[in-house]
Amino acid sequence: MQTQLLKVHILAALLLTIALVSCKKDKDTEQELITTVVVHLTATDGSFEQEFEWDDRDGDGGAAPVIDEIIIPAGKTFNCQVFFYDRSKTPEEDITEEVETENAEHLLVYSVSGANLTIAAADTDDNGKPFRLKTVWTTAAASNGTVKVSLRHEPDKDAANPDTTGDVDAEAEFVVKVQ
Amino acid sequence: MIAGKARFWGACWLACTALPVFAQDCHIALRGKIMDDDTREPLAFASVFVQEADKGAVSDENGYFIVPDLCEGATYTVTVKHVECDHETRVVRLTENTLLEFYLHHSQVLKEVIVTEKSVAAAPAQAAVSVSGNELAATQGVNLGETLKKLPGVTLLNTGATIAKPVIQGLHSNRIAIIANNVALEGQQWGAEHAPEIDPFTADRISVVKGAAGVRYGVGAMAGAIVLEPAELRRNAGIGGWLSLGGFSNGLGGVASGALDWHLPGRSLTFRLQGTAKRSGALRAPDYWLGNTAAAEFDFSALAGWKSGRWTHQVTASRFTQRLGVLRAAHTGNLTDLRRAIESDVPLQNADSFTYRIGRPYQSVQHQLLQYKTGVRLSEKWKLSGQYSFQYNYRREYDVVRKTGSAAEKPQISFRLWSNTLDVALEHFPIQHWEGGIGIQGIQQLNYVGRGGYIPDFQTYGGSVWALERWRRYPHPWEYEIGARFDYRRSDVSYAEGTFLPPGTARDTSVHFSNASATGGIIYHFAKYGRVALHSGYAWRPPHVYELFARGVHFSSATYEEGNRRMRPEKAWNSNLSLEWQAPRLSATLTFFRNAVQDFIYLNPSADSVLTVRGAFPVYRYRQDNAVLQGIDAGASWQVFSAWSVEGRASVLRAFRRVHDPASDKQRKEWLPLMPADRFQYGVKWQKPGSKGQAGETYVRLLATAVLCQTRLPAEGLLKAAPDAFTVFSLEAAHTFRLGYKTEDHPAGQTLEIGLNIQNMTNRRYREYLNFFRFFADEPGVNVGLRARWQF
Repeated sequence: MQTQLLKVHILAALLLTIALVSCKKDKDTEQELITTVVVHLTATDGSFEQEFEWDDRDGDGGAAPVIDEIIIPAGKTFNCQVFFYDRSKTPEEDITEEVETENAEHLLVYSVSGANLTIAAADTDDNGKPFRLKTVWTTAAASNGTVKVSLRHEPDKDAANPDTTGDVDAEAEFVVKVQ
Repeated sequence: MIAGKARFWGACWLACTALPVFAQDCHIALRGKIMDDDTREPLAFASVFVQEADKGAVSDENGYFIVPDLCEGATYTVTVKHVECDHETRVVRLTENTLLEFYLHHSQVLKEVIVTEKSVAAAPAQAAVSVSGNELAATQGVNLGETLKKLPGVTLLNTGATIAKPVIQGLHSNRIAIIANNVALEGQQWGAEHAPEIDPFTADRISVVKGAAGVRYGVGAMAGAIVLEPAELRRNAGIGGWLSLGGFSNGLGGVASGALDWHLPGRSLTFRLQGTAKRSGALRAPDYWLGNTAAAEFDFSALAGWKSGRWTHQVTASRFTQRLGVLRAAHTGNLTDLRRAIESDVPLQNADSFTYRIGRPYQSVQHQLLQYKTGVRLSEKWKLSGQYSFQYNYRREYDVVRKTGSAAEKPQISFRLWSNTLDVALEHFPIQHWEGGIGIQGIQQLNYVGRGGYIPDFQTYGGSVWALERWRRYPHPWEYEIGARFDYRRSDVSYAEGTFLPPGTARDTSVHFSNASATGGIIYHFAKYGRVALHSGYAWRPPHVYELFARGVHFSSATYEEGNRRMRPEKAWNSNLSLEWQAPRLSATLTFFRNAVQDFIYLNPSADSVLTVRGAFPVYRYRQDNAVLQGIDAGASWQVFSAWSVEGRASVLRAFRRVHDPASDKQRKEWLPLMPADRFQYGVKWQKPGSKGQAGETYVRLLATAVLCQTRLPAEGLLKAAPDAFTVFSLEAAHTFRLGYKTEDHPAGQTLEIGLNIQNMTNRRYREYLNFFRFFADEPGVNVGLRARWQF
């Protein structure tokens, strides 16, 4: 009788524990990795169209990123659009759509050094604030330098200088040759 | 890893007291221990007489006595006499094998007899401090770290205001063991921003053992152990428990915790249900809200204990769940962002308003435990105990994301850890004044890292064998402890050719480590109230998989961290010398310690950087050098007048590593980073005369904590200078009311304790060096906490 009762108690305790321990089905993690930044340039006169890639498909560390040099003719105007991809996945994920959908939460920042290149915004976000996924690039005389394309998340677009607010989601630096 | 020996001793005692339980009615033994109430030392040659049975016994040199063959259910009058003390009489109803503790008093006052079945395990010979009662209750509602930081030699490593890890004499995380109810916590303690998965309300007493404690508490207790002991289960039939409620002004937080114990009438079966719920909103620093520092916690545990013949059994199941908001301002994308955040005086990206909402980034932690322990009394002197535990730890980290919809619900990193441990120990009560035991332990662990984690999956197996003995012969002034242990650990890792293999693939990279540990201690009781203890221990820790294989950007420090497969185990040789004086009006402890760590593993900045899609990050690599951590922990309290007492505590640490300098081809000393600055605490306490330790205790205590600026810093790798010295004040007050209800458990009436706790009374603006988020924001401002605890 005594042992029977004990068994019942043990069983009850075990069942309770199993109920506590049984866990939810595994939810996989969701990575928001950007491996690739593509700068698509089209000359307004139709004489030039090319894509330049900053590509690190194995993610942070490991193999070094493969970076194209942006070689563009001098004295021209280009329409530029930037694309972002996650190529660590198969098939690759186009992150540009997400960025466009949440345009108020994103801001692209370009910084040019050395090259005779000016970049002007060609779009705004849904609130009429800067977004700069699409820009107009104008080259002057032949020169060499760099251009850094940054994608910032959750910027404060009302700040005096919104370009330094928010967090960097991607920052790709290219060598630029205007010739 | 392992349940420490001490717990075995505890379990052993639990069972031993249940000792020769025969089924017959009149074969119950009354066991007990007689101690001096002032010195807490055992009293030998005290006579025990059981009137109704006309039986007697004399206590041995350790204060123990046994009166066999008494009848179950009968009521006995037990009288204890000792030549130096007043005699004591107690009426006991024997329902099972009973352990009585008698505290005899030298004066004429008759003291209350406490009937307990608690662990009489010898405390470790090494330096240890503990917190219980009012002191524990004062901060129990915050977190484990906050509860411990009042103890000398214990500091906190914070990641913002919500995440705190205890640091013992400068070391933390995998270098200390956390033992709750006899089980070593197998969580994700390797990460500096991973807080211990422990509900402090489950503990009745929390002890901190300082120095190498590997023999007692297993691999990893290289720098010490934190031991949480739950309250004993009810021994008499009926229902009892407590309910505790608390509220905090900063963050408008609330906490409710309660426990219910039920001992079935007529059976040796007891249940306990315990639960804690906690919720708090965004905290406030003196000048601004700390955006996204809300937190939520829900913990639950169930416990059952019973006895059957010579066997004792206990089953425990517990669940800990927590969601911790992480300061939004601490989330930066790359090194440029981080530098800008550091240079700013106020937190950037900060939602400067109060909310209970826990937004991204946040951590979600779940810990579950299933434990079964048992003990069987083999003979008068020997006892066998065993324990099996299963732990499941699930940790998810949610980053700031761009996605919306269902994808936005998912974490960015997840870690899951399954641990199975088995312990078997054979222990004995004093034989020729030696008390101790031998045991074996086994562990199996599976660690599954979701995609994106910066460590690979791994599976670990381990085994240990240990022996520990303690010699004590009252009133001989010397006491000795000696122990040894051998451990083996093997990990199979999903790693090949510099890449982490996808989950589920063969774990074909194996690493294995083994080492011996040893401990030795001598205690000399030089006076009635004074003792000096010298302890030396050798302990080790195998390198964790993250130190071997980690690879990835650590965003909170904007560094790219890289493990090194060729790491050797860390070995620590720790010595401490303690002077203790425990007199009624003056108690003082002074501990000198030196911890020499061979092959100390640390992150070292390198000249390299790695280019990622968020920009370039400096590369930090795990390295090993010999290190020394030494210092002084001191604490004293002196009752100046009957109501007034003063107290003081100091923790001083010097920690450096010896680095090979290629220029001069010599070893040079370099300070270790993230070591606690010198810390002093002073206090004054008013206590209603005569209320000490009694129900009805009333006190007010004012404490000042002064922390100096950490000036001993490594030359490289610093992002920002250490913050300035500061002094903060806190106030604690409590009063215990007697409620009218008189019950069998509370003959004088149930108690209601009301407490007030004010942290950072002057609302001072300050930053702590040991807080990773000192770069971004100040510490929280004034916090007024109120609590009530009803014991029924």
